[in-house]
Amino acid sequence: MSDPQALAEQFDDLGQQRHAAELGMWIFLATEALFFGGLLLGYAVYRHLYPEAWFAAARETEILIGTANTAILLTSSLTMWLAVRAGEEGRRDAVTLALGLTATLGAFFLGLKAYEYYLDWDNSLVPGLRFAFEKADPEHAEIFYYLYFFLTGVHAVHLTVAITAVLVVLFLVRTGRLAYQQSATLTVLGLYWHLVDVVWIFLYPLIYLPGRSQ
Amino acid sequence: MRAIGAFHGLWWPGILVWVTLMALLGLTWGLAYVPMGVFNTVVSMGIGTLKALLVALFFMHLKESGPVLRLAACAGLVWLAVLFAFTFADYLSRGWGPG
Amino acid sequence: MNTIVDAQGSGSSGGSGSHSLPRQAERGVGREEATSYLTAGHGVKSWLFTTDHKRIAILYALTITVFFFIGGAAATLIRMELFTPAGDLVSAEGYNKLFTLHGVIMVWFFLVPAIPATLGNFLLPLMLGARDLAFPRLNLMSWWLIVIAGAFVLYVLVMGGVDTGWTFYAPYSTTYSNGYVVAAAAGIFVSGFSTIATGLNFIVTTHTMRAPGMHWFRVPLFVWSIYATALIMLLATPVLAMALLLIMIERLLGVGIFDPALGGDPVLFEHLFWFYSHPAVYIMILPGMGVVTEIVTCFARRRIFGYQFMVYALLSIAVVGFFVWGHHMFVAGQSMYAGLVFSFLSYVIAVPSAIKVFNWTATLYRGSIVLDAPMLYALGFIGLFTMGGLTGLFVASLPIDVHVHDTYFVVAHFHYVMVGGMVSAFFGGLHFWWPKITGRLYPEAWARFAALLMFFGFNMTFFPQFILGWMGMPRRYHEYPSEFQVYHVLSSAGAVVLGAAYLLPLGYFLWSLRYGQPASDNPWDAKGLEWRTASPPPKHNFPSTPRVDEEAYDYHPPRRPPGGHLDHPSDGRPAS
Ligand code: HEM
Ligand SMILES: [Cu+2]
Repeated sequence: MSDPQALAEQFDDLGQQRHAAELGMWIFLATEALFFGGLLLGYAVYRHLYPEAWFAAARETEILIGTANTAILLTSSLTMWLAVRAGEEGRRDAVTLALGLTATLGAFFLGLKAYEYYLDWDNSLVPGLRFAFEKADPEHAEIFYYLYFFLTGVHAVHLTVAITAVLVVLFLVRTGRLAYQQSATLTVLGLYWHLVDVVWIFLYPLIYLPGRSQ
Repeated sequence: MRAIGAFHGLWWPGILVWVTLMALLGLTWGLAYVPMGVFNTVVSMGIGTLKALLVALFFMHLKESGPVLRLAACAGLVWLAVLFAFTFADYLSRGWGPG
Repeated sequence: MNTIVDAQGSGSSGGSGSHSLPRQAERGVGREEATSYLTAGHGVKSWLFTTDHKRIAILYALTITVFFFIGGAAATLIRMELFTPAGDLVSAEGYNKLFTLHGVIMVWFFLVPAIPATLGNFLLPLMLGARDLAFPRLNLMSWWLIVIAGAFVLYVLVMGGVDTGWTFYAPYSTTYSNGYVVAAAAGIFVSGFSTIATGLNFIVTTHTMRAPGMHWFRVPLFVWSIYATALIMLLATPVLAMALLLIMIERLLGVGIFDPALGGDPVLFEHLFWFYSHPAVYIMILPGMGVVTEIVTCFARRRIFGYQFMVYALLSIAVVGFFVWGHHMFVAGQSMYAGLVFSFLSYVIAVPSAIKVFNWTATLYRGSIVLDAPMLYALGFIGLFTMGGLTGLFVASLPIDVHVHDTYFVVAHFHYVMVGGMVSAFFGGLHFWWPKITGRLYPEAWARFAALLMFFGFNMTFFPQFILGWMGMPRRYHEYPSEFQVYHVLSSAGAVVLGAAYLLPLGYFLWSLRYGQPASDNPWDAKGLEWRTASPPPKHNFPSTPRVDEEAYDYHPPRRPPGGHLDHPSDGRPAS
């Protein structure tokens, strides 16, 4: 089982290596929080300054797609978690199946997202390129849509990276080139995947839900 | 189903977390249409935080993690709070008195 | 007074060194056992794709030296232009491009990586007793990233520059500037990922790879300073990255959130920018504080005064440094009440800085002080940093800053900390660890001369700028009324001296690589694990993992300072 080399030469033992890898990923996630934080601050400031425009603009988002995508990502977190658990028990088939499902769900998300962007284009909601907004205060509604594209765009980039990483690990596990039971690879991959999910958990109420009750 | 068989014995407690997450999603979606004034925002962000917490504690294993990992996990959020707090210290007090 | 002298110095200064003997005996030990990191692997590829933290440190050192000279060339042109009141050498626009290039390169391509990525990279694993950093390939990647980032900046330079100032304020940068804003911002964006990767590596290494016995309060203060720096790198840099990304997209697409003409708020950009950039000035000073602590203890043969206070001071600077950014925005349209809070908090952050200065001074007290080159640099740091810090309090005071904001007073303030402080510390550290890094001794007399010259040249360059600023000379202008000329001439003349003082070490360091005496493992008779291995160290640092069984800076028995009797060399010798 442990034919591929698991311990890198700078570490004394696998426990130390695992701890380093997990800590490294958590720290990276903290930096990601601040990276998105810059955008979220912009969101908060303009929402505070121009609430009317904000609600009017948010009402025009595609809530069905947004909600479906949230469900998809939440489910993908479950399958990712299954992959990590299966890895701990050394069940290779379960790992590859779970990773495959995770990547597929991620791809579904991106597909729906692309369709949503297409609809936005159709509805002239793309700032700078094609923007026409008849409801109140088009100038500030445009800022909302600018932030919407920015937030979801940066998120989609992260998801693309995550899907790629999942596929690479899937390949390595299948071909027996990764000591997945000993190394922290699956755990760390999972952490990253869940972060992408968590970011979306917050984007959902910020983008799709405001102003629905008015 | 093949999937069910392949994951035999692995589901717990993940599946329960997932069901809760889906329920919360439905709840927040529905409540968004109920007029509650500012509480619409409070509720939707509150539910969002709850969902994120579930993912972090269970899916990301924070529940079983040591103090250093928890600290790292919190650091980003605490600093984010600093960024927001001081920036809004400016925006919220712009309208006050002579300034 | 006893002198710690290297073999070179003991010949020239009359052989007063009581510590040359053990060193002679140790010389060469360990070098036969394992080949040094310098000889393990040959050819360009073994360097460009190395994962050895020591080689990566060397790569970084070479890279930032190149940038230091490009940034220095821009500074030279600036000082030449300011020699006369008329704008005769460059146009107003050319001048804008010069100070922007100078700032961008010196901040992100020299000062931020200066100590962490060179000395920190080299020393952190050695000081902790580890074989390498936790993620050696990530370390290599961060070097490659800074090279790619640098390529962007060089592209900007070749294409005709950028004129926004290093601060990239909107809407000038997003809408009105004619320069290559996007490429410059992209370069800094990429360099940010390099910084983040480095910081992450340092933190994880410090947490997980300390040698047995190295508990948290035995960690050398240089490592603590790097740790605190890394915290800032990780928590501040992502926000800058996002701010620059927003600038780039806004400029490319003509929509955005900072341009008031499009409904945006330019002050928001300043918040995002200074949320990074004030903490970042501490990225540019904390590692210097760490270096100075190592040097001061060694050359005073003293335990550090108040070790734990020093640790808490470093950490509190790192944290409180995030609460004060608004002091850059007193006159930017920020609310007056926020200004008051930021002004008050800026005073608070001076407290831990003052604690550090106090503790260095207390360490010197009753030490047997040796004024070798590293110590001269360290003392220069303490003096100049104090000046910079005190004038920081001037500008942190809201009413004073309304008066001196955007004048040369601010320019002098930050050059005292960044150049007087950090660059002095960098040179001090280079001299201190040069024997360890290269296995060679540099000529001590020349080095002392260069250190003194640097102190003198620095003050001559920047002290007149305090006066200029106080008199009302604004920054970032290429011409000025003639009553300011005398100070500008002084400053430009000082810059010539300063330039010479920077070139000198380059000369004798290169010379020493070939002709310098071979260094022993511990030429300064210093404490710390890095001195317990060969000079230069073998590829994996130590023949076997070292054990730590003494406190940091164990230069004398607890509570028995060396006073004047250092003729018991056993007091200061590492346990062997
Ligand atoms: C005692 C601690 C310090 C305080 C209270 C302080 C305060 C200030 C204030 C209030 C300003 C804004 C002045 C203005 O623009 O009108 C300023 C500018 C600046 N400070 Fe400090 N400072 C401190 C330490 C440092 C350190 C350690 C560094 C760097 C290593 C530094 C680098 C800078 C820089 C680069 C600027 C100018 C930025 C620009 O506008 O281009 N400061 N400082
Ligand atoms: Cu500042």
